[in-house]
Parts: sequence; C-alpha cells; structure tokens
Amino acid sequence: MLAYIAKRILWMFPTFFAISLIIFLILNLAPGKPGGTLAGGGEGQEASGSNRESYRIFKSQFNLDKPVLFNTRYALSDREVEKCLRNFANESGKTPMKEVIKAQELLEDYGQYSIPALIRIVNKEDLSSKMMRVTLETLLQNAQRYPINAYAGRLDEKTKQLNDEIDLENNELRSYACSPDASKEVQAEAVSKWNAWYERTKGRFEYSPLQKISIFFCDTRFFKYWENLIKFDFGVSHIDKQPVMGKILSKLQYSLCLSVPSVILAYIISVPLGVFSAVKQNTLFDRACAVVLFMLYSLPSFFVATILLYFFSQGGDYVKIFPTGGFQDPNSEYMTVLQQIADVLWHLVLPLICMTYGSFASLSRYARTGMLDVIRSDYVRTARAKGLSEFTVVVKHAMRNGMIPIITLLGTLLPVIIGGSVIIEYIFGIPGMGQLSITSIYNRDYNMIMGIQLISAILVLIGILISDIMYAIVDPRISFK
Amino acid sequence: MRKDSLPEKILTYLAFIILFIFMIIMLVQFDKIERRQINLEMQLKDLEVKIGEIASAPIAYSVAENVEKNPLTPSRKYLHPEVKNFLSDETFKLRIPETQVGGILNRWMPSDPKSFNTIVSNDGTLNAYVGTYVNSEAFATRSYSNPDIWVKGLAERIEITDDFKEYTIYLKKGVKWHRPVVDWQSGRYDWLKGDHELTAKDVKFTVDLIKNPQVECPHLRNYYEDLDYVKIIDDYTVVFRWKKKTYNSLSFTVGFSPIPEFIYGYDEDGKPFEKSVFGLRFNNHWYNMKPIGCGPYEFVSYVQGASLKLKRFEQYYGEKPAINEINYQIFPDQKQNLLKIKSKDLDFGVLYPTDYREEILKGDPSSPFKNGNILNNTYDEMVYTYWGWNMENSIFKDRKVRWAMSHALRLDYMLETIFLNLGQRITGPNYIKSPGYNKDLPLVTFDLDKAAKLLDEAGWRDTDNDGIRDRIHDGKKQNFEFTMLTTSGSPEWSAAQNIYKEDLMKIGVKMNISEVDWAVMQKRIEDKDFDAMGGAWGTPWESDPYQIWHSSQASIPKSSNHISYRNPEVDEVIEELRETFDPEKRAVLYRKFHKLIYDDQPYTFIFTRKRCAVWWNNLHRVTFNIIRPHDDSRPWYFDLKNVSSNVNPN
Repeated sequence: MLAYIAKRILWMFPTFFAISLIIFLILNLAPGKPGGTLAGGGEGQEASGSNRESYRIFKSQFNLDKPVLFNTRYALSDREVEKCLRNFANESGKTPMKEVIKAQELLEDYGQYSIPALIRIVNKEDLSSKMMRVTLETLLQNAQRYPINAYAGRLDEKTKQLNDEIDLENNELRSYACSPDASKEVQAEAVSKWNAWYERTKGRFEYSPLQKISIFFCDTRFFKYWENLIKFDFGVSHIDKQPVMGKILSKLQYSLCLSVPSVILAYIISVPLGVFSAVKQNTLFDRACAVVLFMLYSLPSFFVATILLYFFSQGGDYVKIFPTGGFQDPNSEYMTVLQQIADVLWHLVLPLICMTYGSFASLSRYARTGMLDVIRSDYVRTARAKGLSEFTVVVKHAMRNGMIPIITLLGTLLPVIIGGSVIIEYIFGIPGMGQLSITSIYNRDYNMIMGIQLISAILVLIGILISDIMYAIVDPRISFK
Repeated sequence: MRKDSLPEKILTYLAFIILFIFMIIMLVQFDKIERRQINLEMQLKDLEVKIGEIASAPIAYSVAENVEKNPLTPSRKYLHPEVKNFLSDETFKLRIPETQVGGILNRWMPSDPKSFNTIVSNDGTLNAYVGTYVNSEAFATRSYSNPDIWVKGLAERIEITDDFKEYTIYLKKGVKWHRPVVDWQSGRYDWLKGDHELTAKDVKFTVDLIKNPQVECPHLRNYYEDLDYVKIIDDYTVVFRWKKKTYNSLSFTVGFSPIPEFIYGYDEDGKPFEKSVFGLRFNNHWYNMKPIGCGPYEFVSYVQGASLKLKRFEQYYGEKPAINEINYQIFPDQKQNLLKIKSKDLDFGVLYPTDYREEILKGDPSSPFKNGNILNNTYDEMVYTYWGWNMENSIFKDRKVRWAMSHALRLDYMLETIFLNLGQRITGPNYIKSPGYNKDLPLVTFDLDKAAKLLDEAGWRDTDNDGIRDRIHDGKKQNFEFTMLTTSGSPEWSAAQNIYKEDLMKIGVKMNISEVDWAVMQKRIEDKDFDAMGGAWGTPWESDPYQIWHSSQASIPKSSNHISYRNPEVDEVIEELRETFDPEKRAVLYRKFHKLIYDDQPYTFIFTRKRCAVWWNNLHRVTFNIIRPHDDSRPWYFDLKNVSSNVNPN
C-alpha cells in the first residue's frame, strides 16, 4: 500500500509538469496579449516612443518579450531583422497596419539579440533616410539594458554596482539619440558612435555553444515561470502587481465559507433521502423524490438566485428578510464577534441554497444505487434473520457498504470546494475565487490564471489520490498490489 | 467492552450540559464587553470628527478666501508681482446655510481599481471614484460653476509669462498630506510618523517620476515631453519651464497633481530606493494598493472586491464637504445595484437603461421610485457615441458616401424608442456644453431619398438588379457591402444597428454586423482591420483634437486616429489651436474645426450620453458637475434631523 502511494505521488510530478505545460501553451498562444491598455489606444494617449517604453518595461517584467518555449534568437539573421525594420518603417505606406504592429513588437522583443544585426544594417551604404532613422531608434531602444533584480528583493553591493554601471551606460547611449529630422551628417556621426560602442562591447553578443544551449532552453517564458514555480512563487498579478498566492488566499476564505457548508449540507440532506428511497424502492415516496430532485437539478442556479433575491431579499418586493447580497454588512467592524458570525450566516443563506440544491439529485441517486446494491445481499438478509431491528440493519449493516461510492466522491470535490462558483458569486456579490478567476480571465492576467489553474490541478491530483486510497480503506477487497 | 452504568452516564451528560451552559454564559459576557468597547470607539470617533470640525472650521474658510487679503498671513514675495494671478476664487460654495454636517454616503463601485497610484494607473475606476476625493488634488481645478475658469487648489497664485513658457506656482502653505494607513503598532513604519506638508520638493519629485523612462505612465509622459525643467525657488514656490508654447502645457501645468515624496520615495522599511532601479521599484510600490493624497477625504480601509471606505480629512486645507464618510460597496452585478438601492443599502446610484425603463418609466405607483422615497434626475455625460467609417477602405473614401450613411440613420426614432431619450443628438466632436461646440450646424436629417441620391452621385448604382448597389472599382465590380464592428453585450446598440441595417437595405446597401468582445475589437481597430465601427469617446472640457483627427496620427500604429482621417485644412486648425491661448480665439477655432469635421462626416455622430441618477430623499442638494466626475458628492448633504418615517425597510 505504502509503495503504491509513493509511486502515485512520484507520478504526480510529471503529470503536473505536463498539465502546466499545456495550460501555459494555451494561454500564451491564445490571440491577444496582456497589458493591452498600456500599449496605447484609449483616451488621452498618443502612441509615440515613450509610451512604448512603458509597455516594454511591462513586457520585460512579465517575460512577455521572450519566446514561449524555445529561444533561437541567438542566431538572429540580418534578413529577419531587416524585414521587420522595413515593415515597421513602412516607406511605401502600403504595409497593412497589422504587419507594422507585429514588426514593432518583434523588434522590441528581439532586444539585445538583435544588436549585431542592427549594427551591420546601420552600416549598409544604401539605406534610405527613413530606414536609417528607424534602425537608429531601434538600436537605441534595444541596446539599453534593464537593471538586474529590478522589481523586488534586496540588492547586494555587487548588483548595486552592476546596476549603476548599466545605468551609466544607458545614459551614455541615450546621448547617441538623434532627432527624427536629423540630417545625413548627424546620422553618420551617430553611426560612428554606435560602431565605437559596439567594438567595446562586442564580447557581450558573441555566444559560446554552452551559452547558446542555455539561451535555447532557459531564456524563455516557460523556463522563467518554472524557475519561480520551483520556489513556490506564482509571481505577481499583471494588473495590480500583488503576489498571486496572497490574492488567492485572501479570496479563498469567502469561497470556503460558501462551499464547505454547501457540501456538508448536500451530504446531510441527500444521503438520508437516497437511503430512504432505496429502502422504500418503487413506492410513491421514491418516485416523488426522484421527480422533485430532478426538477431542482434542471433549474439553472442563476435563475433561482435572481428569483430568490427578488422574493426574499430586502431589495425585493415581497418578503424582505435576507440581505441583498454581499458577504457581510459594510459596517461589520462595529459588530462583536458573535454578531459578525450571525451576520455572515445571514448573508450566506440565499447563496447556500443556490449552491446546494443542484447537487441533491446526483448525490441522492448515488446513495440510492449504492444502497440498492447491498440491501438485497445475503449478509443483510442474515442480519434481518438474526432479528435485528430494521433501523440497525439498514444503518449499521447495509449503509456501511452502500456508501462506498459516495465516500469516494468526496475526494473529487476538493477542487470544487476551492474553485468557487462564478455565477453565484457574481449575482450575490461575494468576492471569492469564482470572481477572481473570471476577472483575471477578462483582464488577461496570465500569472493569476496560471496560479489558479495550477492550484486546482494540484488539488485534482490530490483529490484523485485520496479517493483511491479511501476506496482501499473502506473496501478491504480492493488492493493495489 | 465495558458498559457504563446508568448513573455514570447521567453524570457525564450532566457535566457536558453544565460545560455547555458555562460556555454560552462566557460567550455572552465576552460579547457584552466587546459591545461596550465598540460603543466607546464609536463615541471616540464622533468626538474626533466634532473636534476636527470645531478646530479647523475658521481656518478652512480663511484659506478658502483670499490669502493675500488676510492680514494674519505674512505677505509673500512674488517673482513677477506685476503679472495678474491666473487663478480665480471659487464662487461655488460646497456648503450652503441649510447644509447639515454628518452622515455616511453609501455608493456603488462596479470593479476594483487596478492601482491607487495615480502616476502608474490611468484606470477609469480610480479617477471617477477615488481621485477627486483623495489623491488628485491639483494646483488648480476647473470651477464647479464655470469650467472655463481655473480656481485655486493647492496653489494660491500662478504667474504665467507672456510667451506662455514659464509658469511660477505659489503653493498654499500648510497643506497636509493624509496620514498613511499602516500597522503602526508593529514599529516597522515609525519612519512615517508625524505630519507631512506639501512642499515644492513633492512637485519636483513627481515631475522627475513622470520623466523617468522606467516609470509606467504612458498616459502622462507624453504631455510632459516638452517640459524643459522644474526649478524649486523655495519650499512653496516652483517654476515650470516649457520648451515650446503649446496650449497643452497650460492645462498640464495648472492641473498638475503632485504625489507625496515622503512615502513614494521609500521602500517599506523607510530606505530610499536605489537610483538605478527607482522607476521600476516605484511601479511596484508597496503602498500602491492604498490611496494617499491631500484631498478632502482620506483613506480608511479597502477590502478587494468588497468595500472601500473614505472619511473626511479634518486637516483639509480647503472648504470641507458636509458628508462625513463615503463607503463604496464593490460588486459587479448591475441587478444587485438596483436591489441595493431599493433596500437602501446604497444611498445614491446610477441606473442602467433597462432598469431605468422598468423602474422609472414604467414603474408601479407604489414602488419607492414613484412614491417620492427615491428621487431621480438625468445628467449629461461627457461621452459621445459615433459610428466611424474607415477611410483606408475605398468605399468610405468618398465624402458623399459618408453623408449618405449619416442621412440613412433614423436617429430621432431610435433615441426615443430604444435609448429612452437618454442622450442628446450632436453634430460634432466637441462637448455640447463647451463654448467650442458649433451651434449653427443643423442636425443631420433622416432622409433615405437624399441618401440614395448621394450614392447615385458617388457612382454607386444597382446595375445587376440584385438589390445591392455596385460600381466598377480598379477594373473590378464591387458591391456596396461592409461590416460594422461593435462590442457585444448591449441590447440597445444591437437593436439600433438592426434598424440601421434594414434602412440601408432599402437604399441598396448591405451592412453586416459583427459583434465581438472588447479585447478582440481593440485588436481589430489597432490593425485597422474593419470597414466601419461603433465606438465612444470621452471628451474633456477642452480637448486637444490632435490625437484623434490630425493626419500625422493616421499612419502611427495604435493611434487614436483609427479611421485614418486626413484633411490638411483640419490639420492647420488643430496646429493653430495648439498655439492659441486666448479663450475667444480658441472658441472660434474650435467651431471652425467642428464645421470642417461636420462637412466631412468621417464619423456619423450619434449622441452624448445621459445617465439617470437616483438617490434616497434624505440626501439633499444633489447637484451634478458639468465636467467629470459628474456625480461629485462634495456639495451634497444628508438631512439628519427629519429622518423620513416610511423609508427604512429594515
């Protein structure tokens, strides 16, 4: 048994890796990019160079400027770079805007890797003045390095020194800039400055085979993400730059308050119902029960939620008893602990009803079939024959075996408990996990989506393991040898 | 297994019962003690408010009045005493004699702000709900009663040189920053203790931040690109020097809003940031999820997705608003918004069109909206909606075609039936209440015959009798068929587009409708991958039309001139506007610009939006600001004496 569990746990790691790879690929290959609002558009903005700078910083903080899986940019050819430059310069005015934007993004993303190619291009004889301008601008933009360890954490003396050097060099590079309407002579002078700088720093752009391999695998989005993940760091949200894990934990309390009671309630109500239906199989009760439960099952929860709010909330027109949504009273800081508990419970009544009624049907059916399997078996007949009361027979003897499928179901509920319900949380204004996931999807908050998905993936893996183990524990006939 | 004897069993049960009763008594006792403590805290808070009110009231008024006339303040030395003060005094009083001080205003906030740092975030939620109250206090603001006039804010005097390049700003003395809301007990934040005053250092600090290339502030940096330098003269005097004479520099100097250096310049342990990474660290500053400023309200608490609380800042330098606290409840659902207004969980709210129709127009006479418990009014928003015609597309290059498109729009009918008159028709891009709006231009009439005639003239004829007009273009036959790109999710706009589609069909034009998600729409607009699009622009009081209408913007990636409008005559007016400072001349230029745009019809201008605001009848003097934020609650007050008897459903 122990060996089996150990094996299963070891298998979880490659499975988890594969899951994370798939989610990562889906996210990063989907159309659109995060930080759209930063990249221009909207009111009161002009899309000029300095705007792009902000967007580039954003991209570099979240590694969005790196290739997704493999990085081959160490071998960037002049042709590729020149093609981008031509598209971006758009001298003919005929290049579609889509291509222009794509070229601009690519040029930014190439970053330091494009320097040798850019230097070679800028030294070409036959460049038109517009191409020259664009190339010089790109060179200026890509040659500047980002400081090390810039976003968080302490800086030791060595990095401080290094960062100061980078800062100094960036300042020097910025002085190479020439205005958009600069003459040929000014441009030529700038080119000679760039050449001198390149001579000095050439070593930086020549990669040994080992470096190439490490760039190929390591300087990528996926690797950078996993580098942090190994340290249990899910990164920070793209939107408000708060740690993903902290945000998830702060939202989790609301979802747990809703889902744990909901699961308990569902079991407490539907298991006896199912058992009773099995004992009284094919009676009026059994049938009525099935009809009612399936009717409930088929009612969509958003509909029931709205109806409940209209009929039973203070903002509705009929029975004004329950609050109109929210997790607790806005003035809860002026309440004592007991009052706060009562207040939260009061707020949770309606959402709990909506969360729970839907699972009655399936759970009670599971309980009923589980019960039916055993109720006619020999040992139950023996128990009856012994003269035990019907209650003891059903509860003590039959139920123990009949409930095996129901218990194993518990394991799979783990991710549901954590995941929260998007619809219920939205309608009742409860700031839980459901709302967090939906808003992060809307905002294209990749780190947040990844964080939520990975956590629920881990929970699914653990849940399946738990239910398998429980299977073996409750039913000694099953062994994993 | 040993069975307990009966007395033993009873004893055990008894022990449990006694323990249980004891626990309940304990709980009740604790509850009582806690209750008493909370009551004390509340009384203390009330006292604090009262003390603040008494202590600062006279000072507040004297500051609000003219400092120069006040004999108690030593007169300041001005660098250019001969120049007239650019700023005027606000004539609008936030408090009138009837105003009662106190109360808590509960309002709705539909989503969380992305950050509370006004430099790195240009989030609409932040500006609309928090900025005005907490952290966008500026040197001067546009007057509440007349937006053409700049009135004193943080500055008491601004001198502008004749060439409009140098601005000398004299800050008011004694402007206090709010106290940061941190865990004072932990001792980690002792370095933040004490009062902090607004000085020229903060101004310089903010400008440096905006000019720092590492800081993510695309919405600001462009406007300060021409700023040459900022010089500190003394603690309360600062000079802004611009390289060029542009009108933008005026509003961006006078409307400049500094942020506090004492907190934003340091990391969480009070150490100044490393210079080489300062900008990047500032983007991720530890205080970004709480607002801090020197506005009339200060931050109390924020729970993401649940609530944001503000209370009046008793040391505020200007006239203080009457309402003590503002509580925002944060939830996304608009249905819940309506229910919460009805249950008086919210005192003030804005209704969505569907709710407006159900509750106000068709409402049951016994509903609170009809029996006088909840009052309502509509106000104009500085937003106009339009359908834009992509001029890269050969169909819409012709002005006659665009006029035909405008004539085919049955707008009056739509406005009445679909939009419930929540809008006012317009003819051009300038805000309808601003002096630059050209009132001489007639509204475009709905006239299909005229539209058909215009299309005939433009060479579009139905030659193959399939009901759709066509023409020969570049040697190929081209049908008049195009796709209108809009965002999904608005039933009103869908209905309007379907009516338009049918009307166009009558004159032989086929319009397809493509409703997409906003993110997709944004991408397609950026790529200029559309024929026509439905959109909306928020208009400032005095907009700089450069970014939307200037030809130079047409070929820049991701620019606002997404329909690629090019007209040299318009360019000339726009450039002239940028260098004209005289209000009269500006108005003339704006009207000329309006006329030129109208003649070209690059957009079919639809209407400026109206919103319906509702509030409970114990809230008084609910006035709406002409400029954003329209529902600025500072002049409002609660009737605390006569609490209406039948209103509280609880």
